[in-house]
Amino acid sequence: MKVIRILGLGGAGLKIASYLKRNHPQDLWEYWGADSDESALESAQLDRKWSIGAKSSRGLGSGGDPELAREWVEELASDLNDAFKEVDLVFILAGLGGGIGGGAAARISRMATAQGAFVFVLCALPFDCEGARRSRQARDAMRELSLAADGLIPFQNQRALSVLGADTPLKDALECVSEKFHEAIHGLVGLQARPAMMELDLADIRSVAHGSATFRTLHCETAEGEDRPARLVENLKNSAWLSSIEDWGRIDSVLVGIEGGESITMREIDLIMEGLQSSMPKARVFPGAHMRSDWSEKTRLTLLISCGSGLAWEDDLVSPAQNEISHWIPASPKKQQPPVSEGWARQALSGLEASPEWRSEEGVSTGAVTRGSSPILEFMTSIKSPTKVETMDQPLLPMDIPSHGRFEKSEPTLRMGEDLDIPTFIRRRKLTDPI
Amino acid sequence: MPRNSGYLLGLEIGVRYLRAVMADLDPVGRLRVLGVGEEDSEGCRKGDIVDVPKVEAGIRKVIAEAEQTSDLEARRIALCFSGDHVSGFTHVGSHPVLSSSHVITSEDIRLVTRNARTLSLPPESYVAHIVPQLFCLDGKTHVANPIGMLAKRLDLATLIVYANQHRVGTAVHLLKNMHLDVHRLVFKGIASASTVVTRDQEELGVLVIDLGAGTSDFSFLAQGKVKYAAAVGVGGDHVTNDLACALKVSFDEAEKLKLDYGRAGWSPSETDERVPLEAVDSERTVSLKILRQVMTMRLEETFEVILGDLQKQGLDSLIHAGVILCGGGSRVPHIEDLASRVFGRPARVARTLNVQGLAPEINRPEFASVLGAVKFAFAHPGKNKESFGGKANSSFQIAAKWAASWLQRLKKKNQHDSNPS
Repeated sequence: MKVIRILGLGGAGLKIASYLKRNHPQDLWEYWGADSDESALESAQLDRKWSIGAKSSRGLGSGGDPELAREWVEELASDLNDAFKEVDLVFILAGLGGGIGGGAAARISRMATAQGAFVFVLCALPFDCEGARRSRQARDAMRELSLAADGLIPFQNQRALSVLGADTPLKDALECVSEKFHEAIHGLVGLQARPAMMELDLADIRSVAHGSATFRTLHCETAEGEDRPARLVENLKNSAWLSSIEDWGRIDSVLVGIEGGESITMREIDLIMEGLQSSMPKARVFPGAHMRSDWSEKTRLTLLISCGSGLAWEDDLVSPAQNEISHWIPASPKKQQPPVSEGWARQALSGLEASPEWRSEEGVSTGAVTRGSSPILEFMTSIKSPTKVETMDQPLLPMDIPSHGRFEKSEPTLRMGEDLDIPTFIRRRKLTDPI
Repeated sequence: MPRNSGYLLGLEIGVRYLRAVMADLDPVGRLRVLGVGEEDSEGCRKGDIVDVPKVEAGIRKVIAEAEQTSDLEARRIALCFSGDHVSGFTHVGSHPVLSSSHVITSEDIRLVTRNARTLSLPPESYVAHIVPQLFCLDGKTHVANPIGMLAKRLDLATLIVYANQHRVGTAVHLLKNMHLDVHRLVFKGIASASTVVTRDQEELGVLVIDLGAGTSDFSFLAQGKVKYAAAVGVGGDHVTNDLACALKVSFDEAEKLKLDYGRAGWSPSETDERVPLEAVDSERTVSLKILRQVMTMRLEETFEVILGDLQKQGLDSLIHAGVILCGGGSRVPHIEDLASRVFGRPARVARTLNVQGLAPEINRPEFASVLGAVKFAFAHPGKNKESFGGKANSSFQIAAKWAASWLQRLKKKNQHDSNPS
């Protein structure tokens, strides 16, 4: 049974961690928090708390200065190292752009990985109205973090607004982001839970979620009733959260977790996988499957999508035909939905209960999971090997043949982990028209 | 023209052009250009020499041209250098004032200088410039000469501009083999600044960016001195390479397209124009919109890298007098607008240089660096006693020499002040 901890860093991280502890009491993992702001730390209802920079800051915040935050975290090094010793899986929740979230998170990730924990970072990116400087700081922090942690998924506060509508109360928008975090945590824990029919392990998750990417997200979709496979794929395509993916063909790796009742049929899985693979032809697929004894006519699909590893983060994964040069693509008005009423959070994400398997501390599955030869298992094993479709796709030039051309004979110019000799338009992948 | 022995040859081994300028000082002390040479360059990439024979041939040609036009033989050279490996680093030395009455003496100056020079650079670093900033008393007051003032603690910040010894050494060694004496090595960013900024700008805070083919070099000046200088190994060649990649043309064709149609700015709403390629056997056309997008992205990124560097130093908000662009890249249409946008300050191209009496053919932004090198060499006499391939810690020697000469100058000044005659 894995030891799981949720660590909220900085103002945003603390709030989200407190929200999750308060609203999801059925989850049996410990909530931790660390921040430099004493009053925020005090009001956060968490199991364990650390004060960053207690000696240096007089209990105030870091003032949005990541350098300061980095220094202060060193003071806590030994305490945190002890805390991480017995932990298997840490979820770091942080809001980027400020001091603690941006500055300390990478250092803390490294401390945790040094103690043998698997570190997953879920980070929130600032609203557009918070300004360009904050956004730039957030991007820099994200680049650093994505290398320090085993996996990183960004969430955009701005996306919550565009999905819910600009007139949504701020409280609801922030709660929505918190719920997405919860969904992500559950999804990730569930994907690698044991026992499973088709196993996924942390290494698989790492290969999809590690490092920088053009785009990455985690999404869950549930469906019940008769034609749920088709509806699952349909809902995925029409989901407001995934509306930023206009060019699914550019996705290059995806982790698929299918959860269904004991009566899950091969046809169902077949339909789901076919639906996914036809919309993401170039993606490497990591399939995983679980059976839930308490579900009969219900299936849940969890997707961890990543695209463009090693490149600069983008807001949205749009096809070149609709792109603009500016990084900050505002949400297009036609995608806004009418404001949703309060309490939507629980309605919208219904069906997200804790699975009995990972609730039990003894690690014994309460469901009867059948192993051994079965048509389903055979089918699943046949799709286990990652598929990679290689097609030359204009207008994008293939990244696996970086031609230095003119600069073959000289040392590469490296800045912030990027090789500036590679053409800018390739690294940023933004052109309005095909060439 | 009176023949004098006090002339220098300024030389720049560029990626696209080699330039040489023979110059001396006129009786009033102003820079006077005697001869010029300009040739196409081959064998250089991003500021580094990658093909020695080709570069040597080019250097011979350009020096011969300068010698011919000036009727002088080149002997001492002020070499303008650059490369991605050049960076700036501000080092602060601190020192508690010795006397109990807190009066600062020359002994304090000597000790704080010693502390300021005790720095550790990467091995094989060549220190090109040491620019003392102001003395700081008790962390508050900044002065140029603190002797006689009272303070508890004295700090001295110095800007160290350093480069990789081997990469700079290749050029020096090459010139030595041609029996030319490299009298002074000047970093391109600092050289260009000396020919394009005015006194006022120097005081207020100005950023000078020299956009070359191999590198983009910049220096930030404020309060009358260079506060920071560094280079980015991205230049016009990168723009051309990007275009060659994007438009699927050869490097040379891309270069021609860049020069004919390039622009630093585009708008999504402009209608596309297609132009045919020069090659006779080709019927292809290329999209100008794509050309301009690709070019703008690269130029914008280069400015952003420079801005990032300045932000790390905390200098980005001090560019009160704006940005000055020079070098071949400053000829790109609308580049001032792009620079203004990135730096948030007005930007201007130095279409003419701040040197009096220049003939029109060299009074242009491309000559800012090589003229600057020679101007700088005259303004800072004293040879770079740098032996390439020698001890790694020669930075100490340079700093010590600077401190000794500074003290000497101060002594002379004090003597002069106390003996008005």
